[in-house]
Amino acid sequence: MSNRNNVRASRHILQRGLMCLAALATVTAVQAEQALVVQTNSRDDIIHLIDADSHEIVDIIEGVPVNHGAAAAPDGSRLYFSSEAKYTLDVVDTATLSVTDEIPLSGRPNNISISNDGHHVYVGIMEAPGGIDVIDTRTLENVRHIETQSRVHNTFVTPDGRHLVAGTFGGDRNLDVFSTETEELVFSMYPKRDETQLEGIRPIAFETDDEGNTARMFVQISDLHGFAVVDFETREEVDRIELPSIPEDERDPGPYTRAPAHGIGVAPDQQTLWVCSRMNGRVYAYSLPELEYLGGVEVGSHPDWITFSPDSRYAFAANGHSNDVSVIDIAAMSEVTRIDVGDAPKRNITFIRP
Amino acid sequence: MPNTDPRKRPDIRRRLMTALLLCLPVMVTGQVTGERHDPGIDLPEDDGRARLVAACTACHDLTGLPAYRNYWNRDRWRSMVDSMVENGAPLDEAGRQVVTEYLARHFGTATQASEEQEKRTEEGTNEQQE
Repeated sequence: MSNRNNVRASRHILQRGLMCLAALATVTAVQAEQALVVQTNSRDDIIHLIDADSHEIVDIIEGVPVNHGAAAAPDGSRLYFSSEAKYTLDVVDTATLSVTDEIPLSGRPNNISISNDGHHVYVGIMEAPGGIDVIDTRTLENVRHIETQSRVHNTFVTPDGRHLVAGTFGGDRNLDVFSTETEELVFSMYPKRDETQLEGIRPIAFETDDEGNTARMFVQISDLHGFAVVDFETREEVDRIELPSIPEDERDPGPYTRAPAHGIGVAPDQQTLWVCSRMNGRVYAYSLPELEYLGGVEVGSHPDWITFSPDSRYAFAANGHSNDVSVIDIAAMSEVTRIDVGDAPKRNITFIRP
Repeated sequence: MPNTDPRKRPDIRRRLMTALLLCLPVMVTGQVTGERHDPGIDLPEDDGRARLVAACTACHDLTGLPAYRNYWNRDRWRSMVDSMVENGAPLDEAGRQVVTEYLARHFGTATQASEEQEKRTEEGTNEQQE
């Protein structure tokens, strides 16, 4: 009997020990994950990885000339970049930071996005006739082309993963919404106002409701120093908000390529909307869902794109002319540091590297 | 407090006036009248340089060109030139051809081909000397 008790006690101790080891391994794994800002440099062949907490450059990816768009696999194992110089979608292994594949595209690419399951990357083709190349990340092949009858500047996957949204130039309508399941067009908005090639839709940000469904789109439009508010369910523009005006002699003289405001983002906690003003050299914040003006932060020259730390503590604005990234403390509404990066930084994203 | 480096702030008023004055004759006449803007980089001096600078620098500098070096052939440069004309660059058909040839010659895959040829020639010369 005493032997059985001893065996039971030993098993109990062993089980407790294994549980402790498992817990320790889990904690260690979580601590090893790193939130990184991926900063492209559109006139360069390097991409910077910036620690979202320390605000220091921790790595540099090389070999993607004239890099434009960036996307991350959901598990953080890969990064994808479009190269305007090579007409490719480049695949980067985040463990080695080497380019492992270069997938040919149908034309000169612009921005990209990735499906929520990570299986497809959608590449906007800016070179006429335009459209969207669909890359299957499981086979690393260019498997389909979605016709848009317009040149595609940006693609976005809505936070709920159900829709692919394209902001385009030169089409009869320049904001297209597709189903990610069927890749069929669901609806279009913003008919062209003139025949110029820079008439169209610029960056777009998305707000979700409490269930995580797409509630509103915040849309930047050619020539608008501000943004439009679109109700996603009714498919109607419900408001148009102009950014603050500053004295002309304080403005950047441009040119702005007809986008005086370029770069817009919703913080991960869905509490604030941030809008970049190239003309003013500032980023402006609005409360969500009320869209009350919260204030502006002076940043570098030509802020062009914005991303956030996962905890919504910091915003990172890429300044395309001063070649740096402004780190903004969101609660304090102030710039805390400016990080020198490559030539013409623009698109940036945030991902968790395992 | 934002750490704005005043050295990074452009002389806004001077640049605005300069840009307006330099753009005006091009906008009015639609003619490429010669170099008027700073391209931002050193460009090889040969046929096409003047047209490239005059047509393009009304809207932007040319510091982005070196990033494309050795990647684009003549067709791709022509596609970009056509795109820029659609965006407002003042070039007629003859100008498009001249600018395309210039870009292909100095920033295209032809650049790589000529560099490789120079290297082969140099290696051949070195072998003869040895």
